[in-house]
Amino acid sequence: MKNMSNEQFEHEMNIISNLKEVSAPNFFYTRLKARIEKENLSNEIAYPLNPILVICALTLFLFMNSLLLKNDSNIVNTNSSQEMEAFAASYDQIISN
Amino acid sequence: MNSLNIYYTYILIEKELIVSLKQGEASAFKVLIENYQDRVYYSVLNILHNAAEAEDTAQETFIQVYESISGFKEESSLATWIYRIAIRKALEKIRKHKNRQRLHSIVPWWMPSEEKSVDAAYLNPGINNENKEKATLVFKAISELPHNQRVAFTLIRVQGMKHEEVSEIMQLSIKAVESLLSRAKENLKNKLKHYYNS
Repeated sequence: MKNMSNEQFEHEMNIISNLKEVSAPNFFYTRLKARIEKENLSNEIAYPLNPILVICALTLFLFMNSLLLKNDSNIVNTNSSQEMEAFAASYDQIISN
Repeated sequence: MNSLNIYYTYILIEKELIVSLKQGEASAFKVLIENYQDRVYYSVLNILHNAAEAEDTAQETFIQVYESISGFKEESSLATWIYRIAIRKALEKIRKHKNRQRLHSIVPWWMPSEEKSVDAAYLNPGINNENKEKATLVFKAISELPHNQRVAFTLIRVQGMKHEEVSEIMQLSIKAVESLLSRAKENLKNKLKHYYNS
């Protein structure tokens, strides 16, 4: 199979050289503007659903929950020991820790 | 008005346009698009060989320009900067398309085949009827070139850009662009000899 000569190659390339420039489709700017507005809107909607924000909020929620639970158990413990002492006192007993 | 005056008027207009764009003026953005939409669309069309993909990429280019104009340092002309973004976006599209095709060949049930093929029998709308068949073959051969060769060859031979302009757009030396062009020619000769000898 013989190679193409330079002249032959250039001749073939002339077919695709210096072609008339093709214009962008009609209403290009209108469609682009609509796309930008749509993307801005979807970014605003997506902002609260940002994974980092969601993870932070969840971590904070769990942390607050665990704090509250810890405090509750302390209150329960304090309350129950007071009740026990009162109960023991009513029978003239002493509870020693 | 002589050519030097026209040149300085153009520079002044471009400077004003950049300032307005950086200030976020919507009218400046409209002027920018009116000035560049055809050139950007035509460039990416010649690289992507698909009208819908080209429009999508041209839109993405202008969105990127809109979002990053504040960071434009004016080290190159506005046109070069926009072309650079457009070419990068077009190459990203080709890479994504190839990755999807590769994934489709591995797991066809998971990755559906794309309806529109980027390189399927592209014909530049500027080609006249008598050259259609040959031009389709030439564009197919161009689409099979490595990315950098494809871009350099398209910008210089199809769009008629100067080597200096292409070297700025591709951020390569003029010698590197010439080398890409020469390798592209050799590759095209090899690809086309099959068609022309048969």
